[in-house]
Amino acid sequence: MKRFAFFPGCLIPTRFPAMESAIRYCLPKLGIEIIDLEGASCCPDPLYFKSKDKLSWLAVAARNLCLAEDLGLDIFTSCSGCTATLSEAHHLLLDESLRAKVNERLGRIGRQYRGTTKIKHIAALLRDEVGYDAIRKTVVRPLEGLKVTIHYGCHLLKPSLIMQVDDPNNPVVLEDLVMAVGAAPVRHRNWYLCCGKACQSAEIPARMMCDLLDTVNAEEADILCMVCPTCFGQFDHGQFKLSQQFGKDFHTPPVYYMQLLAFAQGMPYDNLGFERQRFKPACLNRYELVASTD
Amino acid sequence: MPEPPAPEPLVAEALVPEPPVGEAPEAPVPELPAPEPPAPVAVVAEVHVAEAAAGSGGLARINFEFRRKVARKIEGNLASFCYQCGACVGDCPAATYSDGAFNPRTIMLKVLYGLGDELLMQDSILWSCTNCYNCHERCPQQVKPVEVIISLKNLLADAGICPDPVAKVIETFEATGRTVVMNPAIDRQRQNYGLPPLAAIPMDEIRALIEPSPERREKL
Repeated sequence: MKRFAFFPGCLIPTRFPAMESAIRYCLPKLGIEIIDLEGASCCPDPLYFKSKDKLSWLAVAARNLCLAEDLGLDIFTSCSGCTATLSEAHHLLLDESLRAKVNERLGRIGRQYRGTTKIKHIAALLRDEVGYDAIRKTVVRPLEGLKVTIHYGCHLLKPSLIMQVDDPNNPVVLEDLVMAVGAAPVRHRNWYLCCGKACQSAEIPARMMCDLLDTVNAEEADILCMVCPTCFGQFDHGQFKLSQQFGKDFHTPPVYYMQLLAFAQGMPYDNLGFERQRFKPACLNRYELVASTD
Repeated sequence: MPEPPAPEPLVAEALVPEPPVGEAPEAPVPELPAPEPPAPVAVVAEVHVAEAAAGSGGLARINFEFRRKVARKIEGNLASFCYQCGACVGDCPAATYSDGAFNPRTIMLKVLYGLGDELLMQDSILWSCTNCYNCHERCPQQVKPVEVIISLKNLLADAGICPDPVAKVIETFEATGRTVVMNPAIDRQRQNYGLPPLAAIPMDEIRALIEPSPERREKL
């Protein structure tokens, strides 16, 4: 078993616990031992608290990284926002003067940031530390014929210099992960667009999401797959609101990738929390176990 | 088209040549070909330089004090490298879906001219940024426009200005260490999925970290 510190963030443990339970179900089957980070706080978020005071934001992010450093572990994250904050903090704190400033603050609580912990988004963890073949071997419910369109979101890929996950202009990691569970990925035309959550204007995200969902609809996919809880919210309740606002029939059920993987690995549909979604991926019910779960 | 200002000199103010607005220069050079029509960037520059330079006898005055304020924020100094190519605009979703009302290049230009009054206000256009990082990805000068915008938001916060939904999330984080308000229903939900209750966050540590240093507190 490879050991990794789990940084679940705020949204998944509080709003979407089914995503967390899927992660805890999947990873041990794939040879990853999850170590919880005692005392971890919000990453802090890369949109709001960062906008107030970037130095304080860096100091809190560095503290979270210290918790894993103290255990001698690398971190994996389940939210693209957390990945962005922790990766950016790691990158910025390569700068010695900035690191000295942050360590001055960490000194107040008897901690020191050394920069020894790496951060991996769970999608990159699966690709790099597990591998697609190993994932395929754990699938007991192949999702053959399931048409999956993908929302990459922004902070998994960009800025690519800092995130170093995949080519932001032509990424493949999520397509490959979808294929590993036997499903068929399709790319909708506006795949590169943002979910708009951070934008404080009402009009900009609404118009953008409307364009995005038009192209999702055009693919007639069974589900829309993603790896970020913030994006997920925009595509679940957000999709419902936009349908009303623009008089459209947006209806593609959003599914967080780890829940899709857990389902393919044998977790029963009813344990996955889909009943709490506005758009339920009931299409998954047509798949049956082809092998027994362990 | 006016020259983009050179890297910041160590004087408080500098004079830049007047951009080509209206009147022809007095220099007696009759054979010169007609000047090319100004590119869009020149239009933006003229408008704002004209405002910034009002009453200055035809010379534009750059507010270096504001530029220095931005530069003191983490990565705010990167604006100095902007040569106004506009690579940040084409892929900017906020620019696309606001019909250009939000324009990262214009925001960088205003920083270069020191036009803080046009950026730091209630309901600032800065909050239309979607934080998608496309501008960071595209910029050939590594300006990281999104980070310059965050530096500007840090200045807004110093002035006590923040949209309500943003302030609410910040308050929740500062009070609880999370961006989501905890309640008993959350732990009940977690239990449904076989998850343990969420552990408390050591807020004494978080508070100690986000408190400004004593010198900084004096300045605020």
